[in-house]
Amino acid sequence: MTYLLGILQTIGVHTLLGLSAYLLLLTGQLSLAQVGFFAIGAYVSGILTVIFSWNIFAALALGSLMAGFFAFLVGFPALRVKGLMLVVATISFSEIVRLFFFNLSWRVNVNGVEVGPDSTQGFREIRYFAANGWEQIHIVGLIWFVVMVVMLALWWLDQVRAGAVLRAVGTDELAAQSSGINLTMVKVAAMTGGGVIAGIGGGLFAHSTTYVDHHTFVILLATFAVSYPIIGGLRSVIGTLLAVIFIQGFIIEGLRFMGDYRNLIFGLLIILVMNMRPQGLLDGHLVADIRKLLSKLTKGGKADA
Amino acid sequence: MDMLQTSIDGLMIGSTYALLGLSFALVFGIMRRINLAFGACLLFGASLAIYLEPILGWGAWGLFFVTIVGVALASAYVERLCFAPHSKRHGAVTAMIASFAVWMQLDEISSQLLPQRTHAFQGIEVPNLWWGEVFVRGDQLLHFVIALVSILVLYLLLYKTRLGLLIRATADSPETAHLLGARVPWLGFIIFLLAGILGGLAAFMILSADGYVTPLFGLWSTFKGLIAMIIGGVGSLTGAVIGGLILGLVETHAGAVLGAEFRDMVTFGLVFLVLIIRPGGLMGVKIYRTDSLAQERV
Repeated sequence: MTYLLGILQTIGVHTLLGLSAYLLLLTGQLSLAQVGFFAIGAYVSGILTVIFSWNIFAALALGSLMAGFFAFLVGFPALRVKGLMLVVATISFSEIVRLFFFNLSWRVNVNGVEVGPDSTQGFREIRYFAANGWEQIHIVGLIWFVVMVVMLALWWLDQVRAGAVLRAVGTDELAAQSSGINLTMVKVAAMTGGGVIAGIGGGLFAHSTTYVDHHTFVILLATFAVSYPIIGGLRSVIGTLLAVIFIQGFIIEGLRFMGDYRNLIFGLLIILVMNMRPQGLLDGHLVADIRKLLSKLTKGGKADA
Repeated sequence: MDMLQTSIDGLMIGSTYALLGLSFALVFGIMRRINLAFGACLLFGASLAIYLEPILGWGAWGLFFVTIVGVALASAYVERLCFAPHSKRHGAVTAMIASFAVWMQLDEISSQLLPQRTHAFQGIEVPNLWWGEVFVRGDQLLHFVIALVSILVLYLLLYKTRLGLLIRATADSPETAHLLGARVPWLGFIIFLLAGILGGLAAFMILSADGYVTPLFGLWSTFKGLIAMIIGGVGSLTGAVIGGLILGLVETHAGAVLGAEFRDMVTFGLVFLVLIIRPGGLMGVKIYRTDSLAQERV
């Protein structure tokens, strides 16, 4: 049971990471800065609960706001460059953040115990949940509650004008600009939104594992984050969730029995998916087919009644 | 005097960064693709060399050749699997994600070949030099010369041979080159092989200068190559060489003045600044302006 909850925990946190990349990918921007925002969220909220003894919800909120703020600051200069150059710019941002936390040492004496980030030793003792009597099932519940809220918000975004604007920028910038859309504003807004989502994911991650260090926030994690929406397909938020379950649940956990050879299969499976479904698992055709099927089913049900 | 010594050290290290930058620039500038598995290829070649060393017993020269061949093979594998199927213009992202998957694969193979975290990596023995108070490591001087020679050879290959002409034509416009009879997919394969050979050379030089190899070497070299290329200028091979030398100089000076823990932060900060102020890099501005690549979305 604990094992299953652990997997659910990982899937939830990675879904948040994937969704933060998804929001930016809608505008056609590929960013590897998500892991930087994730790290900011993790460290800021961890420091707030550990050193300043804040409530977890307030700490998570401020952590994600800080991540969003940094995303906003980085968004303006970084989004001047596009395409593969943006990938490089965001890689360097993430690395700067990681190296900053790598060097950050802020040890404080709280109730007779020295706590806080300890540069290379990492940031231990993020024990808010254990200290306040939370059980693992509550933690998983909180993570999935946040995931559901974010997914609903992104789904809702697709139903209103804002979503159409994001997708317009993603499909054809020139056309979007000619119809009066402020490109910079849209992109920076998407970047900020992605930062907030990644930041809250980071805060949840830090508190559920009780320990983070700079190894957690390497660029590999950012690559995972952008892979989820791309492998899942950009037509719908469900695609990202599917991809996370496919990679974290099926490939990484399901193939654990293969031991060291898992990574070889991992690579092969992803390449197969990318070669056979370049638009992602859940592409436009599949979404349309599912919609048709659903409407048939509901109509059929009515006819029977 | 310290300044001079630091600068010479920087240039020596920079020459190997220049090779890393060049092999990145070949792929990025000509194929318009980011190969995330680049460092993993280098790590694979080095691991293979160390694994085979006791079997072959050829010493440092054996390491030299096996590293280069191993990296070139891995590079060709990456091209066939990730980049050949996505050679269309919109395939950049798909290819990048696929290369991320191969990165995981190659890392796994490397850790199978080298179970321990640190392995000794033998270099070619060359006596050290003293000029007055300036100290130069013999092997680094040899590496500097090797780097210069291989840059010269690459230049001759690209600008004086028919193959080079074809490669440059493909870089300009793959469609036109294809219409005029160039076998573009085949050229992509050749470019990856070339990048692999240069990368293997750089891997051998860096590892033998350090004297050991760890699993972290892969990602480290991806970053160094990427940074050298970005600082120097995208798509410009001269730029990549200059970028590598600048990177070496900045790193050693930043390390000497601010200390080792801030060295990498300074270099990444420099990359970010260069991208924002002069998005095409120092040498690549003209190319950036005329090149639709920079304006393209992924």
